[in-house]
Amino acid sequence: MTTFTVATAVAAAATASALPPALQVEERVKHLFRLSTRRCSIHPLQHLVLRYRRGERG
Amino acid sequence: MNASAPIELLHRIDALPALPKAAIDAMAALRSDDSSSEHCAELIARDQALAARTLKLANSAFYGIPRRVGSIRDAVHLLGRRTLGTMVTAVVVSQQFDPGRCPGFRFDAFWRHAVASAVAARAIAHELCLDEELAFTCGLLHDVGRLALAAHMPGPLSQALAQAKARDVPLHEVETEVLGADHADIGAAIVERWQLAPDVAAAVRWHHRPSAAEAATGRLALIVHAADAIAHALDLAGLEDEHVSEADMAAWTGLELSPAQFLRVFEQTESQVQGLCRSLTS
Repeated sequence: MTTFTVATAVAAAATASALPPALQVEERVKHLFRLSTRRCSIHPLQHLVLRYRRGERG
Repeated sequence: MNASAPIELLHRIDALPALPKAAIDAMAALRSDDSSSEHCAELIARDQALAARTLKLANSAFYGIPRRVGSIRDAVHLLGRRTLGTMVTAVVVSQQFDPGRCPGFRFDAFWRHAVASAVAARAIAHELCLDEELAFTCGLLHDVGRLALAAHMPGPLSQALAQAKARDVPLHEVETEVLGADHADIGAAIVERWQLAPDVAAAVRWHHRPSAAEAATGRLALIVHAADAIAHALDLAGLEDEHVSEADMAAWTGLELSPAQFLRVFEQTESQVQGLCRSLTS
C-alpha cells in the first residue's frame, strides 16, 4: 500500500527558508519554471500560478 | 544514442501482459451503446478484485455521490457508463506495473502526478465543454510509458533519471538520448496494445508536442499537455527538483481558457488529488 501526503515541496521550502512567506512562494514558482526562463521564454502558466499562490481564485 | 534500444523496447512492449480479459470486456461493453447496463455490471462483477476497487473508487469523495454505492449495478445507474468506464480503466491501469527497484524513480510521486494530470485534464475539458471522461483517461495514462520503463528497463531509466537531474533538463529529452525513444512513444505503443480508444494513444504520444499531432487529436493532446504542465506547476508530486517543461507555444494559443478558468482548474486539481490518489492506491 502506498501512502500519500500533501506536504508539497512548497511547504518544505517555506519551512526551511528565512525569506518572508510571499517571497518564498515567488522563489519557488520561479524555480518551478526555471527551464523556460533558462531558454529565454516565459511559460504562459507562470504568472497565473503566482496569482493563484497569492490567493486569487477563479 | 543507443540505436538498438527502441527495437528492444518494442519487443518488450509486445511481451507485456495484456489487460485482464474481464477488464477488457467490461471497458468495451461500457463504451458500446449495444450493451445493457446489467450486462456491463455483470462483466465487472466477474472479477471480484476489479469490482471491489471500482466500488471503492465510486464511493470516494471525488465522485461526490451523496449515498453509499453498494453494488456495481448501482454504480452504473448513479455514475453512468462512461464515468464507470473511466473508473475501471483507472483501477486496472494502476495495477499493471510493479516499478520494483528502479533507482531514482519514485512511484508515489509518479502516481500523484498522473492523478493530478487526470484531474486537471478533466477540469480543462469541463471548462471547454469537451469530453471530460476521455480527457481524464488521457491525463491518467500520459506517462504510462515511464512506468513501463521503470518496471521493465530500470537500468536505462535510472541512468536517464540521474543524467536529467545532474543536467537539470527535462527527463523526456534524456530518455531519447539514452533509450532512443521517450516515454510518450512507449506509452502510446502500450495504450495501442491495450486496445484503448485511438484518441488516447495519440494524446499520449503527442503530449509534449501537441502542435505535431494531427488536427483531429491535437486538441486532446493539447489538453493533456496543459494538464501535465499544471500538475507540475502546482507542485503536487512532492519533489524538490520539480520543474515545468517548456510550453509548446504553437499549440498553446489554441487552448482558449481565460485566466479565471485556469484559476478554477488549479483549485479543482489541488483540492481533488489527494483523495483520489488514496482511493486508487490503498
